[in-house]
Amino acid sequence: MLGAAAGIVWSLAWPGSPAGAYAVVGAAAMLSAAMQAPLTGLAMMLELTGGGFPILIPMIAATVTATVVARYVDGYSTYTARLRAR
Amino acid sequence: MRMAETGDVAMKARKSGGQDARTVTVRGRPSERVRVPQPVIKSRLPSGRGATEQPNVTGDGEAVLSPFFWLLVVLTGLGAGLLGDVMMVILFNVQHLAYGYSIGSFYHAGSFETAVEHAPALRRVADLMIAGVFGGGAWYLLRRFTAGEKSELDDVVWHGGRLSARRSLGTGLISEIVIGLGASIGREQAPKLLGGVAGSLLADRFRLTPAQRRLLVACGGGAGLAAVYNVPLGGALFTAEILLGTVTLPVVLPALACSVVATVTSYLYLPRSATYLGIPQYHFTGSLMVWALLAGPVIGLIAVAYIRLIGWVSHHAVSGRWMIPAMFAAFTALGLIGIAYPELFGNGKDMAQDAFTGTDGAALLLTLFALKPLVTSMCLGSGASGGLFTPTMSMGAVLGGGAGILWSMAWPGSPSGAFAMVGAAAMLGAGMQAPLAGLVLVLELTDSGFQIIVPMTVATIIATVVARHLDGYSIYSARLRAEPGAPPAAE
Repeated sequence: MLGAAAGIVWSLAWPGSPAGAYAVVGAAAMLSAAMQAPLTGLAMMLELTGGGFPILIPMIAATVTATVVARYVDGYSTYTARLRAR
Repeated sequence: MRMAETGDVAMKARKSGGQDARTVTVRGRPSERVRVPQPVIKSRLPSGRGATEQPNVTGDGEAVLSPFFWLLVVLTGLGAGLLGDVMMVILFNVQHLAYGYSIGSFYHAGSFETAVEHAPALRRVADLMIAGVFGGGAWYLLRRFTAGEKSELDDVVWHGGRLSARRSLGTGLISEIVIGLGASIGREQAPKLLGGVAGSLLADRFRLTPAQRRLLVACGGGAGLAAVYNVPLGGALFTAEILLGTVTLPVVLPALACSVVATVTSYLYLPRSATYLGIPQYHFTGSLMVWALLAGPVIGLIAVAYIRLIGWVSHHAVSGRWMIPAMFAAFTALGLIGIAYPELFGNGKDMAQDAFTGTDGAALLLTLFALKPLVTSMCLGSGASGGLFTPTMSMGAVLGGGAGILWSMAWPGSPSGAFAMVGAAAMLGAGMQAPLAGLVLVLELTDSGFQIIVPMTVATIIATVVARHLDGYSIYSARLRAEPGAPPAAE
């Protein structure tokens, strides 16, 4: 949703791709950064959409940068963040 | 092993209450975070649990991912992409000169094969005779004048040592020229090697630590593969799964970054489309699923025999000046066989393409399956140096396609191309002993296959398990050269 919305706004400045493409890129990046697992995030988005190879390059670029930034700043994933106190 | 190491570092740090973290203080108090290097946020979550409890979220370990290292990852990617393009420019131009087919149509289905088929029989044999004399002579001279220097990427990443830039460049050039003339070996080895060389040279120039150098060389290797086949994900998996055997973040992130940069860079010359075009979207059927279950163990067995054969011919490959007559004889023999089966020329791309689209009959497919490993090992045994990626994958594809046609007589349901996809993934997974890389590479190369991913995965797991149970060598480890005087390396 974030990817799609941002993509629609971006397309006003630089048209070229449909909102769905931005949505898939955004979803892959968000999923990977949140799970701190870029290979899993990318494979899941490719499998869930049954396609996506033609936009794999921007998907990987966004995924790597999002995961690196999240890791640099904090590094928790949705899984470690939910671990219960010992 | 690497994973355990980095895990240990984190564990130790945690046990001693943040041994490494003790040096980091926030407003006079030690940081609560144990990861090295430290994240920006120094406090843990209220639960007190650590982010590194997720096993792939480790510290950087010995290969510190500094901002400067990231810059070198990008530069290595650029280098791998450019060098990959250069290798392909050479390959396509030699093919153009040798068989007179148009360079622009390289990525159209079966174009090299079509050109080869249209070339008169005499010209085909003559081209391979030239390849034999040129390859034998050039490799003899290169190896003589660079004796003792290393040009094997996996050997350097696994055992240490330094890649020789001149020997790597030389062997890459010779390799692409003889493949362009028709030799039956893979065209990806040179770009992979030169991607590694790009990383190695940058590591030299900026005096990286041995661990950083190893990571950068491995990233460059996968990136070279990514660039020439347009497979950024497969290239990164090649680095992580095969070269480093690790899927922790400090490996996966630079591997992906390097591969993606190399792939984009390669678009300067290479097309943005998938390597195999026009592959239909095959559908899941009961027939295909049951076949995958039965074919898995058989492909595992065949992979073991094939890998053993490769290991044997690699060890006993002709060397010294006898290489010149040996390569001339081997390539001429390939040329003569190629009068009847021109599909055998080159790395096997067109053979795989026809199998994936399902355009060949069972007899031809199964004949090619029997001949391809023989001619490839003949080329390697004569002293030629080249890749095994496409030869291995195309062997699995024609086996799958051919066996699938026969199976369909008993239980129709799927076209032969679907069986070829399953066979290719299983042979590649078992042959490389890397099922994730095998599956992803077939999906990326064909831009297809998601709907039959279940049978593909099933056959790939079974084939890899069977090969691992029986033997466990891969097409890469089987080719490592004997180390004179050294005790057998750990298995």
